[in-house]
Amino acid sequence: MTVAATLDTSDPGSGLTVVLRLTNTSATSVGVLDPAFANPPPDGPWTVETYRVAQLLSYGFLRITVTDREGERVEPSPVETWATHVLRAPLVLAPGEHLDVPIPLGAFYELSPGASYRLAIAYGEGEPRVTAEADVVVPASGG
Amino acid sequence: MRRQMSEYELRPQRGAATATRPDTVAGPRDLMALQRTAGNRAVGRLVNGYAPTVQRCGPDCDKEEAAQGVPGMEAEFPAQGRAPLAVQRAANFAPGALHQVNNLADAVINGTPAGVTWPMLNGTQFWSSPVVRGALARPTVNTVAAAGGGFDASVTAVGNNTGSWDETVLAAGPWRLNTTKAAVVAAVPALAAACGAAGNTTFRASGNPSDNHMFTANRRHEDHHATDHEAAFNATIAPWDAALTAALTGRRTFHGATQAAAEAALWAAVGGTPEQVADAYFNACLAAVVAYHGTAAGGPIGAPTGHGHRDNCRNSWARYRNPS
Repeated sequence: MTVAATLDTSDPGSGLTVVLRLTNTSATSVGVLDPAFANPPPDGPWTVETYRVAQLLSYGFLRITVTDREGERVEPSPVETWATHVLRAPLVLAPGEHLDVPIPLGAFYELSPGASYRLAIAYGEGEPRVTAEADVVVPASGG
Repeated sequence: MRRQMSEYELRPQRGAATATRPDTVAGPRDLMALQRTAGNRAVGRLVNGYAPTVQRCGPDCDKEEAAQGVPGMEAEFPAQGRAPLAVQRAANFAPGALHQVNNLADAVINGTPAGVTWPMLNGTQFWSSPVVRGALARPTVNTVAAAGGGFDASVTAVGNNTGSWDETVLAAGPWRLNTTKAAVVAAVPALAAACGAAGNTTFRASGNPSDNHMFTANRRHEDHHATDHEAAFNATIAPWDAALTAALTGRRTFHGATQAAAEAALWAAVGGTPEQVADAYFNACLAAVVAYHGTAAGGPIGAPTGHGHRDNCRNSWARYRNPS
C-alpha cells in the first residue's frame, strides 16, 4: 500500500473530532480522493467538516465503524445533505506528503461521556480503500 | 442567477389535493396525481361521485370512550354502544417544487451542489431524525383510569401529515462562471500550467457527451431521490396514520395496568410512537439515498474527463460525465 492511514484521536474536543491522516509512503506521487469537492450552503445547518463527511458517507467513500468496550457496534445518528456534487480530480500527494481529513464523530454518533470506543475507518473511491483503527476516549464533560 | 421553473410547479398543501396544470381535462395522470396527494379513498370517492366529508370526534367523546375499557385486558377493543366515527382523512404525499437553477460551473469551482432533493414533512425540509420528530403532527392520546382498575388509552385526534420533496437541479446549459484562474486551477489542477498566472477567466463546465446529457442525467438522479422519498413516506408515515385513524374511528381503547402500559399498547398497535415513526421516515429516506448512491448509475458527477484553455487562459473549460 502506497498510502498509509492513521487516526489522531488524541484531542477530540467539543465536536469529538478525530483526524484521518493519509500519508504517501511511496517514492512516487499518488492520487487520493479529494474530500474538498463539496461545500455546505451558507445558510445550512452543517459545518464544512460535517457536510463533507456526510457527503463521503452518502457515496460510500468513507466508512465508519464504532464499537463499544464490549464489542457492540454503536448505531449512528446520521445527518444527510441530500446533495449531489461534482468530484474533483484526485489530490496528488508527493512522496512523504499527507492529507488530513477531520471527522466530527459527534455529529454522527451519540457517544457517552468518559467512555472509550474502538473506531475503524475506511476511505477512498473504489477498492482497495485505505483503513485505520484507533481507540477514542470521549471527554468526560461530554465533549 | 437565472431561475427557470419547470412546466408546472406543485407545492404541498396541508390536507388538500391541488395540482394545477395547463391541461383542462382531467385524465389518468391527474387522477394519479390526486391519488398521490389525497390518497386512494379520496380518488375513489371522486370517481364514484361522493363528496368527501370530515367529521371529528367531539370534545366529550374521549371521556365516553374512557369508560369503555375492559379491566385486566391488554388488547384493543372497540368501544361498545356507539357507531364508528367517520373520519375521512389520510396522510398524503404531495409532489414538491422543482427548481432548475443550478450552474454546473459553479458546482465545479465553488463546490455547490449540482442537485439536491430534500425530503419534507409538513413543509419542513429535514436532514436528521430530530428535525423529523419536530415536524411531525402528532396524534392526541387520552389516557384515563379504568373503572375496573388499570388505565385505558385512546386516540382522540390524528394530526394531518403531508410528505413532499423539494428538488433543485441544473438549469439547462451551457454553464459558465467568471472566476479567478487560481480558483479554476484548484478545481482542475491539470490547468495549472496554462492558468497559473494571476487574473480572471471565463470557465465553462461542459457535459460529456453533451450538455443535454448532463442536464437530463442530473434531473434523472434527483427524480430518483424524490421517488424514494415518497416511497419512504408511504412505508412509514402513511400506514401509521392509517392505523391511528382506524383506532380513532373504531373508538378503540388500549388497556394497561399502568398509564404507561396502556399508552405503550396503543403505540404498539398503531406501529410505533411518534418518535419511532419519525425516525423510521428519516431512516428510510437515508437508506434509499445511500443505496442509490452505491450503484453505478447513482454515483456523483465524476472528476473532469477533459480540459482546455484559450487566449492565455482568458477562457478555460473542463468536461464532466454524469453516470445517471
